[in-house]
Amino acid sequence: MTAPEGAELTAIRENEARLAGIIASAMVAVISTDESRRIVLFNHAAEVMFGVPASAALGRSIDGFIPARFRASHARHMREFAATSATTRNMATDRRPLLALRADGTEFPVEATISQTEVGGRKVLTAMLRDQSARLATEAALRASEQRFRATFEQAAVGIAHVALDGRWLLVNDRLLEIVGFGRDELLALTFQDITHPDDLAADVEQVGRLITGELATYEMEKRYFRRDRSLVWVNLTVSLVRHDDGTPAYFISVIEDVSRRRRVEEELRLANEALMRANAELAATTYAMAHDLRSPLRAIDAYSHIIADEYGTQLNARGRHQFERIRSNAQRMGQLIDGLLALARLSRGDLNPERLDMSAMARRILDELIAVEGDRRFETRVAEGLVTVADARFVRIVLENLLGNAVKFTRGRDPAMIEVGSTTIDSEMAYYVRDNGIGFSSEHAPQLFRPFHRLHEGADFEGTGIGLATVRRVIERHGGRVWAEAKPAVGATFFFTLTPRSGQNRRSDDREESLHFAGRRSDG
Amino acid sequence: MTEKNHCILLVEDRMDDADLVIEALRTNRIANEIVHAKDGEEARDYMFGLGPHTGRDVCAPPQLVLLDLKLPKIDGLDVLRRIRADERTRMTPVVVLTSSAEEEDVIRSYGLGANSFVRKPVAYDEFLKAVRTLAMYWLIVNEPPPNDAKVAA
Repeated sequence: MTAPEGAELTAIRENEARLAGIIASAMVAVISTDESRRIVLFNHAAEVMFGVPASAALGRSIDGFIPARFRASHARHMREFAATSATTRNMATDRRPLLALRADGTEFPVEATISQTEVGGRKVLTAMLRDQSARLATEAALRASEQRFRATFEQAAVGIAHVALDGRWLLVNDRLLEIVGFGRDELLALTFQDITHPDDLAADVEQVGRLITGELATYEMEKRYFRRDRSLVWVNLTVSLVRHDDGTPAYFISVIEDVSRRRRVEEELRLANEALMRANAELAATTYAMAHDLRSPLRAIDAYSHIIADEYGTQLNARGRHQFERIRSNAQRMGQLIDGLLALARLSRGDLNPERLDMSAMARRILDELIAVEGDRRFETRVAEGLVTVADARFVRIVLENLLGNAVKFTRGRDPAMIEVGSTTIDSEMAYYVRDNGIGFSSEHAPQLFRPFHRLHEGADFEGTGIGLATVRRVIERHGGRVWAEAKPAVGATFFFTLTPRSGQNRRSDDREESLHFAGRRSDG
Repeated sequence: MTEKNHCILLVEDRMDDADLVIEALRTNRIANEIVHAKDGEEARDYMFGLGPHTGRDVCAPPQLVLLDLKLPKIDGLDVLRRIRADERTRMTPVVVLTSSAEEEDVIRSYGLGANSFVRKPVAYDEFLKAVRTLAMYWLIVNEPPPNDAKVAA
């Protein structure tokens, strides 16, 4: 063997320098060992990868960078490789990455190729290593994500599907198959258009179009699918569009929830409600017609008693005449009751026409009228200014006429009679009140007051039909408000009412009774 | 020339109520002849000279019609509609005298051209007063349309 000289030597040197430069700046770690596993080359990437300077690595055994448990097999593999004539080999398979050992004792996966050359009759083995930690971590994360997606998709309580742009089902979960009753292969051979009820299709397709143009990010609708047996199922459908990286539409994600049960319940409720309203209307109409028809015979009773008393009065003694009077006063009283019933029935019908209303002015007018017919009784009245509300004027008039009429009536014997109309805030609700210093009543009787025909004070002193407060209650009920009373016997009574539904309170029929009666409020009387 | 017809046509299906109206008219010394029609059909026959009233001079309508609303055969509002639709009877004073005070009935009655709407009170005193007032007004105070009244314009 001749030593190189002159130009040849220069060329070799230049070549070596170029190679050394490449190795030094390579992104992969390059480590060369001699036949006795001693490190003879350790590039910069290797320094970074293993966390040790080349100066500390050179001359040491490669074993220092291999986990102890792999050292023997590594040495064996190297020997076997050196015995072959192969120049390079992959050291790791995809399934089992090679593990390397950092200076700090941590292990990390690497991908390695090994090559062998002979330099000056001695074998040099060179490994090129790439750190695989990041790639493997990404792959693991992907796998986990994929598993999560699978789990979500398969175990979801709602139907989920991927749908192609033309409407073909691409991917469907078991729940969706249950909802529509198709087998997977059957459904995948169809489009969503195939199983959508024709009446719902246009709206669905239109929304799909708006998803594709980007006008909508997602849409939701209730629609009907035909199940495999041609029965219909109501679903709530939520659709979004997945796009490719370049923004072109890829496929739809549909979430499909079976809402037939809810729809059925809603439908039943609606029907029940309709039936109830019909029954109520019928009842009101019947009450009206009955009350109406009752008037004629009463008129005849009253008239003929009157005529008999008139024409044959001389043939009757005082007792007989008195008894005819009793017949007449009862007939007339029944007439009043019927009129009250009619008014009550009328209140349940017809529309409310809410308008802005000056209750102060209305209350003053009504009080003036009521007091005018009370002769020389003395009254002290106070009506607060600015009681403005939005309600049906006819109905509010009925409320005020009844409450003020009662106040005027039940203060008989008071001098002066004091009647006050005002407003107050109770439980952050605006409540109006009518207060008097009349004979009052015990609060325990208060709930009964609002029932038709119920009277606390019988007899001639306080005439009345017992329908007034029932009427008040009906009116207030129709406005969504409440009415209640506080009173003390011989001291007076205060009637409160609201004209709007309690905020945030959904009135149900079963709490209605309670809310009309005092809502747990008791007077201290 | 058609003779003036001073009749009161009372359209009322309930005998009690009819008798009481007649009684009240008599008590109040109203001497006009009273024709009682027991249903809408009889009222129509009288007004238009049909059935038992064939040959009656239709151009002499009654001085006053007291009309109940709830009637067998032909409903009161329907009778009113026919009276108003006929050239010969369209100006005849018609007072609706009924037990109903339903707003809808009031509106429809006026809508069809009733001249007045009176609700029959239950109490006989008030009933007498109501009949007296309306008889006084329509038979004495009020100037009735002439028999041969035709549309002027």
